[in-house]
Amino acid sequence: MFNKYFKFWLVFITSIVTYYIYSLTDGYYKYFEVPVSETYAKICSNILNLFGFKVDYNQLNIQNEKFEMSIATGCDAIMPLVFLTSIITFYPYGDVKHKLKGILYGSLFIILSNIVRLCSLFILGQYNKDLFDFFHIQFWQAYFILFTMFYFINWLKKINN
Amino acid sequence: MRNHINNSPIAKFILIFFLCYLTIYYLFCNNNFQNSYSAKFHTVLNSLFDKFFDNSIFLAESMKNNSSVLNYKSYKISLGNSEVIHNYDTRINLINESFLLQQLEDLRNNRSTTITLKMHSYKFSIFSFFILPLSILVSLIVSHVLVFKYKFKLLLTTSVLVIGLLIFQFIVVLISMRSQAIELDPYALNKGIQSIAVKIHNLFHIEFNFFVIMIIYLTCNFKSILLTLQSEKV
Repeated sequence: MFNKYFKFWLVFITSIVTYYIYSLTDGYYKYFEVPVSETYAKICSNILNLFGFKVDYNQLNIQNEKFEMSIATGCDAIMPLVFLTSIITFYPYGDVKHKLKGILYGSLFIILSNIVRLCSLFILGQYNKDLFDFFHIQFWQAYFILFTMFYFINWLKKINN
Repeated sequence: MRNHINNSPIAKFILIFFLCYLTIYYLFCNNNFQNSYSAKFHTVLNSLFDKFFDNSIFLAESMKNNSSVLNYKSYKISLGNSEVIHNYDTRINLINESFLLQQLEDLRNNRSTTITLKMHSYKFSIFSFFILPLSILVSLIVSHVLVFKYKFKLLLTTSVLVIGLLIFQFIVVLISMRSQAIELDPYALNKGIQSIAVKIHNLFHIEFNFFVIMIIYLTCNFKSILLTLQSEKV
């Protein structure tokens, strides 16, 4: 039992370290981070336009007459996705079906949350700089760590049942 | 709603976490408190890292300070450094000491009347780098103690690991900063270590810190979280 959990944490932490090392490479930035952030910029600008914000996007930037925002490293929600995928994949219990379901729903929630984060930050940035800073740095970062941690714990409860 | 929070340890944890986290945030956002903690932090940093690099003077000061002065061997030298950058509370200056000594020598021998400093300034945020990660750690520990079964030893291990990580990160930032400071004498540290420090310095954004703290917390306290959830049967 101890051995199983020890191996699990070892493999999981190794996978996270590997991801971080890979994230330092130019290849990661060019072929992974930029396309992901561009997709978010495109989706968010379309959503914001639905609400009449007259937004335009250019690569990683979302902008209108009042405000401009760039999707930087750490605002792409890639880390929560990597965390959730690897912790569920390497967890020693649970069958493949439950694992795939857990990863799929979790990823969808994270992606949707990130779209909500980016759209809400853009709206806040237009009206209140202090609120933008608070939600950008304090609230949303804390939300993502709590969400991924408790999603995983909830998934554990489900597979235990 | 209240029933749900009482019955669900996860909901209780999240509520306590955010209460604690926001309280710390508002406390540290108070201007007077902010000025006093950052001044203390600068004093500690200046005394700890005074001789960290050869032939250079380390001077951490408030970003709001637009008349910074270096006290050096009975001389008071104005740094002429007044740029204020939003979202940063600290300016770390590395001053070329051998060049300064030579300038002082020239001044004493009446070969010049002014002092020119060779220095490298670096914008830094004590709030983002130390206060925010520590507030996440404190909030996790308080919520954990109030909601889950806990072992003091494991919570202590979590805190030691997180504080160790922050100190390690700060040293990496300093090495990275020093290796990019062309205004100073060549840095004697191994070139490979310097380039690794510059590379991994790019990792240290807020999301990275938060996730690493969460991983440390989860790894150390996973068993007690599981035990509580199993005994609560939620």
